Amino acid sequence: MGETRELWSELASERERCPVTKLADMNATRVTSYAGVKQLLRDTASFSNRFGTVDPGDEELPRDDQILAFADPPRHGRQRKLLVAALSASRVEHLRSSMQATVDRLMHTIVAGDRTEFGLVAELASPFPAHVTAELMGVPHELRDKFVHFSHLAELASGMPGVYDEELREWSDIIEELVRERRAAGPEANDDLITTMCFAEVDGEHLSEREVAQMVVLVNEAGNTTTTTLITNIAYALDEFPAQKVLFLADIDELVESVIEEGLRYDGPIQGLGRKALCPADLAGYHIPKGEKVFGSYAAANHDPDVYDRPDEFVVGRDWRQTPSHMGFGHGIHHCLGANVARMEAKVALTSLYKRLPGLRVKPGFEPVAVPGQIFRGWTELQMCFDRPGAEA
Amino acid sequence: MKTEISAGERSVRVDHLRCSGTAYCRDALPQLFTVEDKRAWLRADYDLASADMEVVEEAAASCPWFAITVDDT
Repeated sequence: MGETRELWSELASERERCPVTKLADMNATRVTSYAGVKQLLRDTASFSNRFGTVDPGDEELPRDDQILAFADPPRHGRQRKLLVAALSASRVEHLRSSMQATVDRLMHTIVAGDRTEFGLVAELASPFPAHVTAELMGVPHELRDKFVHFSHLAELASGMPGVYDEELREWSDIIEELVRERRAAGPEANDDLITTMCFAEVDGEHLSEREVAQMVVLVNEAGNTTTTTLITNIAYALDEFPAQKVLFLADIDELVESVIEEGLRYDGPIQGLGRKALCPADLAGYHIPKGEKVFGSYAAANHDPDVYDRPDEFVVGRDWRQTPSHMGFGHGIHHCLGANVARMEAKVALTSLYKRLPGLRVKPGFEPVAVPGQIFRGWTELQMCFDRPGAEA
Repeated sequence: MKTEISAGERSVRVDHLRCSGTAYCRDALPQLFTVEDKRAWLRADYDLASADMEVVEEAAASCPWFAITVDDT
């Protein structure tokens, strides 16, 4: 379990040396302090999203691809306004019972027969959010398995650029077809996010089919593997800190929400994202030249000792009302649109897992493999085991 | 704690159907905004009549869920 700690100490020494550090890549800088990352994400006039955020390019993205996380104000605000009502904390409450039903179905297989172990990613943490997103989007049942499959490609593709281009294009075509169908069916025919996006007006104009399709791709990519990782990383962290796990297991209902916030802080799914400097700018007292790629390390900000007590420990009982908000969902106007969905998914999954599977733990001796790439932080699989009798579906 | 306060022509409203508890409004203007039960609220004792509305509007604009409406007509 050394790999996670190594990252924290690397980031800590970089932050101590200089919280705004030039990277080996000539035109890139990394920010590792909480205050610096916050400023980077708030100053949208200086630091742009429309060149991409995984690896900001030299050119702006094509207009139709400037969607939500890849758009700047005022365009970004107009697009985001279309979706906030459908994804707000109060609105996602209506997804709770179908989420629970999906988890129940997946857990039925996990405890079937005399099983005592399972792959957390393959059997629950990955299919669960993918099904929730498909439901939210109104993806037809016959396309759901494909939808789930394609959603994984984003994660793989982020570590191996170019390799999955053809499959990603096929996925894009399927989604554009779905969008065309929904638009043809009219605004009243379906109550789902695709229909909402198709008929929402932005300054008196509808989004193009391509824009809606891009949003579907983005919501799916941004929403599925991230939630998979959130659930998995929390399971891993609980085993890294056995005393904290004991506290959690003693009062799951009371602590599950703060455990999720702590999971987002301690080891969130996204290590960090980049911006492009549109003009010369000052960042935490350092000069950033025009055209610079600036990466905000959420992982480093979330472990900043100026902000968090015991930053490198997973603490289940932090009082989040008194603790500065973590950057697990980013910060500012681009604050994760799926935050409320993700929180509820994690709550349903973790509550069910730890209440129904006695002795749930990472299988002793199992060596997890890190997801490749610099953006996602998680394991490709986490083999878990539990005790019988007492296990319930 | 309220979800709407007004003074003359001025009013500020928090829509709890949209508010998702980021607390950015409170960070920007703690004299006006507070967060309880994962929702933003308005302090009843805030002096809206003599407030700098630019500051109020900036705090409202910081909400990524567009949950705050400011009227000053």
